[in-house]
Amino acid sequence: MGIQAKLILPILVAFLVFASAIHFYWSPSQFQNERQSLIQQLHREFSALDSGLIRNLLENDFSALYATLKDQDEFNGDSWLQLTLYNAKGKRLYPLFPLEENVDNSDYLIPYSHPIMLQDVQLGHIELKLDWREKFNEIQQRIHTLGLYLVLTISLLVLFVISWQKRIIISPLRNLQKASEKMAEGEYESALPESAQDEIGSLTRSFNRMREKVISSQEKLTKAHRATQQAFEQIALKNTQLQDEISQRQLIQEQLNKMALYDQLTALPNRYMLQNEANRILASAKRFGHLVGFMFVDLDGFKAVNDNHNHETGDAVLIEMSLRIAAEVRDIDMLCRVGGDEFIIILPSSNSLYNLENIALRILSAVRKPITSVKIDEALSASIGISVYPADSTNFERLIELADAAMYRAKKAGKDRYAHSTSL
Amino acid sequence: MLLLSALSSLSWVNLQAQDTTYTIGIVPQFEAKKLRGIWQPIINYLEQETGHQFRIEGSPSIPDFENQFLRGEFDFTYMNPLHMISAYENNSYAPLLRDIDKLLHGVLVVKADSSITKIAQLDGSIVAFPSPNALGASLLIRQELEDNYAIRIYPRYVKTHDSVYLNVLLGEAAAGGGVEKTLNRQPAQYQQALRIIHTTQGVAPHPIAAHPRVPAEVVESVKAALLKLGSNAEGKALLAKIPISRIGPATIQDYLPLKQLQLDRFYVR
Repeated sequence: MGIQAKLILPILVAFLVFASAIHFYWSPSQFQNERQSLIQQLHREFSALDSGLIRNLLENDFSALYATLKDQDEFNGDSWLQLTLYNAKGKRLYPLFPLEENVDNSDYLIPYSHPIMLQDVQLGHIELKLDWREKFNEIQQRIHTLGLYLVLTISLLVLFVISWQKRIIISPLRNLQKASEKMAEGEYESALPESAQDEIGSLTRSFNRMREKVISSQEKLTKAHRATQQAFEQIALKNTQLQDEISQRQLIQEQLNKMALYDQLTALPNRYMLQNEANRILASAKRFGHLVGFMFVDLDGFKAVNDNHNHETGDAVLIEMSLRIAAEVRDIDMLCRVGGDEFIIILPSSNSLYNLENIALRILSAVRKPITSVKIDEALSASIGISVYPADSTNFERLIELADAAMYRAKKAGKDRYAHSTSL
Repeated sequence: MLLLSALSSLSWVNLQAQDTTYTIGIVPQFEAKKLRGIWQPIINYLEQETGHQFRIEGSPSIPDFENQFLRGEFDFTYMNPLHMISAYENNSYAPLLRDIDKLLHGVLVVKADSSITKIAQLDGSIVAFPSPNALGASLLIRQELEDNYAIRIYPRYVKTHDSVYLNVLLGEAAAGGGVEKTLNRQPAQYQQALRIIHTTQGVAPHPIAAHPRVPAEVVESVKAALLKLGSNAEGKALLAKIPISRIGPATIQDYLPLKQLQLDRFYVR
């Protein structure tokens, strides 16, 4: 139920109450009062006649009695019906020959009875029916008119109240509602007019204050948001910077790591890497029960190159040689540069010595070829020493030693050849 | 000189005669207004016709009227037969004219549907009369009931003739005394509900009488005028209201026989 209906309700209830009061109390009382008044009037009229009637009754002067009653009857004409006089014993004395009077609607008839008393003795009584339809209809009319005015007044009142309520309650509330919804959707438009001095006015004022607060906190939020965004951007930037730094450092670290484990010049694992990996390789060989070949490769004639040429030439020769050697070994083999012109190759999973020898031969062949990257006159070759795990030793250092020793033997024997560690 | 005085005396007499307003006393059978309504036109006619002045002298009641005529206050009167006898004997009033068509009878009525047919049945009953001294309705009947029938009745005096009939019709009295004149004036419904069981002997009706002091020629002129009045239709209508249906001469012999009835016995003073 809309608030308007709720506000109209009391008026309607009041109307109902009022209408009920009129219908159940006032209206009947109007009729009752009129009846009473008419009966009083009859009483007065007959009381005035009493003395004459009493005398006539006592003297049995019926002609005088009749004359009086006929007179009264005629005088009151249509409003007096069935005027009858009875004696003390209830015998009808007047009229002798009653006329047939139509007694139709008893609503309009008031029965009246008047005893004719002489002190305490009743000499007779008069009865009549008073037709009061004119007065009755008059009252009816009055009540209807009143009812009409009431309905009219109530209708006008309701219309007035509706339009007035609309102005001072409904419209302001609707405006508040619309403004609230707009605010919920983020529009803060204009403030509502706060002219009224009543509760709705206060509500409007509160609403406006709230709106201002919301606007200002919204601005604060926006600022804060912007600041946060900026901060985020900063952080992101910083983050990126940090990441770059980290990457850089990681690279540096790798480089360092690499430097630590790899030969700078040739990019081959260095001695330290070899040491790191050795145990792993040997452990694996032990587990799977296969050979691991150790080759100590020394470049013959390199010293002369180094002496005769500059650093760059020497480096280039080394690089080319390491590439050649690398090309002759398998992926699983580990080629390391352990000295100026010394290389160690670990060859895990070797099936046999024979294979190892093949590889050594190929390396020798590769190294023999003339250098192409730089122009040198010297011819280079390699001397290779081979040791085998586990046959020659199970100890890494020992195996290296043996390979190294074998290499010396090869060199001594004339270079450009290989030699086994064990005197095979 | 003598001639002058004679003439003057004659004229004085004439003047006196002309100056005199003759009073007429009417028995108050009806109320004054009604009486005047009946008699004034006749008076006017008389004045016109006779050249004399007349005036109606009112009486508040019948006893007053009786006293007045016993004192001789009226020059002319209209009275009932008993009054005539009394007025004649006391003041020598002489009857002049009366209704010569009708006689005055009393009638005894009962309710038409009552079982009473004979007077004898009324023994011990209440009988209504207008007043004790009403000649036809009361005295004549009561005299006959007393003298001619050996019954005892309880009279109830109910003021008027109309009342008598109502009393009978309402059953308040077994019978009632009235006269034909008044009975015939009742509504048809009433008359149909009443039945006459007895009619008394007839008596000459009310005369118009004159006091002896009234000059004879005045008396004669009045008599002549009234007789003349009764000769035309208009005049008859006026006289009928008195009521006199046919006016004619009256003598005291018309009334003296009433004395034999000794109606005094029933008269209430």
